[in-house]
Amino acid sequence: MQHGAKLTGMKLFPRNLTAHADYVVRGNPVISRPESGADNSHPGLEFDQRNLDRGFFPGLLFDFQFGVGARLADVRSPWLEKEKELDKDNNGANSLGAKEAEFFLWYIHGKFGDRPGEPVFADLYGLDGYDVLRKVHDLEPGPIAVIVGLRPDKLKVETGTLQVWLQVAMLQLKGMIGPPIAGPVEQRLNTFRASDGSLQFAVLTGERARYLNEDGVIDLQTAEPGTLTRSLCSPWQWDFTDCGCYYWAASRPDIVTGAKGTPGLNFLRVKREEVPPRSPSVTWDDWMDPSRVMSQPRMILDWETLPLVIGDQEADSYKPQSVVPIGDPWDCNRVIKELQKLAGVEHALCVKFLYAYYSLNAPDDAPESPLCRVAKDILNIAVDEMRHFRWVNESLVLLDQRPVFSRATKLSDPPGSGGLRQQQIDLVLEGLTPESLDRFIAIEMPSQQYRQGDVSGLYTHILVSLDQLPGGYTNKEGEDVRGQVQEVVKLIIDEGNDHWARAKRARELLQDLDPDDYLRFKGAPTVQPPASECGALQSLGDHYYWLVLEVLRRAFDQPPDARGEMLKQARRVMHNLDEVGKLLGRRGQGLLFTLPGSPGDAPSDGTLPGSPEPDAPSGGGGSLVLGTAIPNLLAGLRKSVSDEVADFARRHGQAANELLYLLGEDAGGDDP
Amino acid sequence: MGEAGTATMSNTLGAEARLFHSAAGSHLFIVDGSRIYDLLETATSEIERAFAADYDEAAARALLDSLVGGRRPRYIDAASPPLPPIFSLSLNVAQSCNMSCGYCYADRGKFGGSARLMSFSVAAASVDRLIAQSAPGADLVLGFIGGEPLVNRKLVRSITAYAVEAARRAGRQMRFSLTTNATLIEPEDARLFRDHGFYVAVSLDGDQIANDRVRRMHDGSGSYEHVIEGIARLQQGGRARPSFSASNGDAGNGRPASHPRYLVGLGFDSVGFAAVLTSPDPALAFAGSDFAAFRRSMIDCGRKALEALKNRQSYPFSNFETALHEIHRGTHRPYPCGAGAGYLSVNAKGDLYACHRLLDDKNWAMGDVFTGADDARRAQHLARAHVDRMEPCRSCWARYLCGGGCYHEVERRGRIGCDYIRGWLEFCLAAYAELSVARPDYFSVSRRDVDVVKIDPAQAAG
Repeated sequence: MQHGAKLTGMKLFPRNLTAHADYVVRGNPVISRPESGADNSHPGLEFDQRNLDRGFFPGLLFDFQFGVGARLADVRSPWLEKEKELDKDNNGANSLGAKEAEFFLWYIHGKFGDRPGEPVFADLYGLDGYDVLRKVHDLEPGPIAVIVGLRPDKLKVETGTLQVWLQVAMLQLKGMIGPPIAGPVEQRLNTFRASDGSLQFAVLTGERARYLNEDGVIDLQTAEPGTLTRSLCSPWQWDFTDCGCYYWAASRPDIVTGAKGTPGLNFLRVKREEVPPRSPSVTWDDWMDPSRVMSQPRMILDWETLPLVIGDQEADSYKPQSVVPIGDPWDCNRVIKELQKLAGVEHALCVKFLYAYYSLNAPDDAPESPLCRVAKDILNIAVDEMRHFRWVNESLVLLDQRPVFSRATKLSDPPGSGGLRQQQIDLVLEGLTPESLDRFIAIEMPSQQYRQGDVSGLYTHILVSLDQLPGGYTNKEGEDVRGQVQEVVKLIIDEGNDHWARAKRARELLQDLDPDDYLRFKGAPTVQPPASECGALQSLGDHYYWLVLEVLRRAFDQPPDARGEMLKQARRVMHNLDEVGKLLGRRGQGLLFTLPGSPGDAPSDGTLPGSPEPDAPSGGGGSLVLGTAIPNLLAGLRKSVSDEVADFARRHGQAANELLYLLGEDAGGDDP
Repeated sequence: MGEAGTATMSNTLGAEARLFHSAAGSHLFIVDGSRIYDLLETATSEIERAFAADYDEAAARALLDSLVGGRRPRYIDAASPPLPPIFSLSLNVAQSCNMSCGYCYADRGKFGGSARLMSFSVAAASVDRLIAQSAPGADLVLGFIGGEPLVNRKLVRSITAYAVEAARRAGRQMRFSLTTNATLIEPEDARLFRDHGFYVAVSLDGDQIANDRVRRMHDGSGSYEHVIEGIARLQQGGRARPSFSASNGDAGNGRPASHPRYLVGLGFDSVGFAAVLTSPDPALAFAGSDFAAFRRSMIDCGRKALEALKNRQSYPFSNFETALHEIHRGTHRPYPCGAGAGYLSVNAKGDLYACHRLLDDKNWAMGDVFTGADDARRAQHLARAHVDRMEPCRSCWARYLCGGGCYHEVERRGRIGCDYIRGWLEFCLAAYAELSVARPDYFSVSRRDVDVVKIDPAQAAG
């Protein structure tokens, strides 16, 4: 984009918006305009990934500039050395890396996104830097070659000679990069010099930068420290009023109350005195009148003068609420014991809510019906409890404890709670009758409110204890994990408050309905004869349930950043279990959720049937047992007269084999 | 402020650029992209020379390219744009009217004898069709026109409720507009308009004398007093009253009969003027010779508006303000309006036409609301009507601001107003330059864009 008419010495000044937009500053980096924005690089919150493209060819660094092209900004090893080797008499002034010479990217030979199969010659000769960037951004990994050369007006060879040289270069190139071979492409350099020894253009081969190294971290060859953050969003300045993706502007308060209590003030007002508006603005133009509101340049200079806004009110300081101490804080050992009990409670709640969910006769085709909304709420609570079960166990593992897989049978008040709950609540499996729904509501009632002098929540008690007695939370590796445990506990408290509201809402929605209509079963599960279809389904359900616990146990055995795969498998099994629950529900039966090991009080070290002893190396024991039981059950179900069941069994058969294979792999090679 | 530059554009550069002058200096308007640049004195004389007939054309082009060219692709090229989704429909809910205006394009409100009211099922099908052929999450506009739409007020109420619900379910935003003669407005109509933020366009031809000359009731009596009453009722909505504009037909006189201030004094948010070009009684329509006087008075009004705006006073002369904002944005388009593209009109039977003025004209039929808009016809229309294919438009510097003229008017009368349009636009360009220097905040980006779906006051006879 040529502006500023050099030819006749005339100057033009853009006046309207399209004229302004059309004006592109020559030499500006192409990433300074939004049209080159990519995903989160607009420019970017943490870094601008477009800066990586500068180093797409290892050893060379380009600058993509408007009105100029892709200019070679820096040359590094091995190219400087290679050039020296090639042209030993070269005095350095005529080299690739010479500062006086300006080399530009002429051609790239490589595979591009639009035709990834075949390498092509991309002709970038004379293109604007922006267009070159787009092409470079599209490069696929693999062998590439580039030709860099002087600007056309600086070339010292005639066009004819140049053409011939280019032909030669391209032929050589094709020879250099043959069919894909194993191993990295050799880095080769060919130079073409004029008779006075000055470098006219050079051909270089190599591999496109991988951008990330073997550790999955940005390769320093591609981007030195500082490169990626050359361009960034300016959130607390310009972007606060005008963000191209509205991210920052959307987080900004608009209407605030002043520190002295005056309501209805514009947060961006230039005059900070608390003068209430003469008449309230009713149009956007009036509210954002540029003569009264901070402009973008002003924002860059004065953003620090903007006050904090807490609770919709401007303030100049923030005093966090301090936690009021309790009289009987628990030490680390006691906290661990309580967490172990809580794991059992979360487990029991999750199973209880799930069972109740399957008892509902929710239709598939009326998602807005009250019954479906209730079902969704109950399921969401169950899923939340599953997450809490996982988090509590992760906290225990953080504290070098074994995870707990037992299931509590009662929910009792914590000590000193002032008896909000009049009696202990049995955590049994029951359908969602009105009475049982009342029990749900009682269970979820926010006993986790923190009231001064009357702590009635177990988690809250733990949270305050972690604050008051911070000692003893250093793990085997010497890390103090107290902070991490605190975060988990806070999260659980937050989520719990929501459950009570949902349970109450469920009661409202169901009050006009007849339980006989909306329930598939009411009480505890009845064990079906094992030879019957429902009996087989119930047995399958139990096996899936045990498999989930086993997979979770394995997940907790792994370090935190490696748990993902196992957790993913656990979810797959959960989906299978869900299908069984629905099949049984349609037949008026519930899942048994038989606890692994002895029923009732299971040992708190969470041993599972068939699982190895705690000190044995993690092996495939448990899943080996399950590995034969599940396929057998499924084989039987495949013969069902019901198409629904037979089809389900076939699908699960395939999935089960896959699953067990994966688990077998993880166990370290025991063939299932 | 200088009037239009008198340089005669004789070489083809004149189709791509125009030099103009204002109190703020000299400027260059580049047609492609509607870009405006300020020029220094030295540049001005050189460019003036470049535009002259005897200047070497190749050199002139080179000059232009060196100034503002480059390898960018053109903003508007010969290809017609892809068919846009529909975003607006106008429903002719009542082919019937309680008035009998002299210039009415609907046969003075009689519609050739076959007065018809639209049924609910047709209206509902129209709403459904609009939603079905719109873009996800779009802002849609449903317009009520006629005849006089309030003759069928029952339908206006019921279909508004229907459309609000249908839009909500489909994840669209629905807005409403209504063009009325304002003589039938009841308090509950005003409430409906307020509750749904209707944009109400009122047709009024100025003061009582001017208005009652042409806009009459069926018995021949004047309508002015009824209109004033109706406007008062419209305003009773309190703060959240609908925005309404007056359109001033003022046929034949060649002059906006009333100062916009007068109309603004009646409580209008904006006032726009449009020349009546088509009328059953030719005496009421503009002749080619009427345009010169019209142009003078429009510019006169514009000058007053410019002074007021410079002094931070409001002066809602909508023709002028719309032009200013579009020039500021560099609006450029190869069509005069969205007719047949994003906007269609529905007759009482449910047939779709390119716009409300072309209802029942077979050549502009574009499907129906039951089976859908005829996309092939719409695409054909876009291909044909591109301003770069029109004569004499293709060599006119104002073509991307004007778009080629109202399809209805051009078909009936040809392009007889081009000098007026060019004169008016040249005035607006200069006014823009001055205002953007004197008061740049008038155009600041935080100002909401001029509402592009404002019913064009050029529906003077509506």
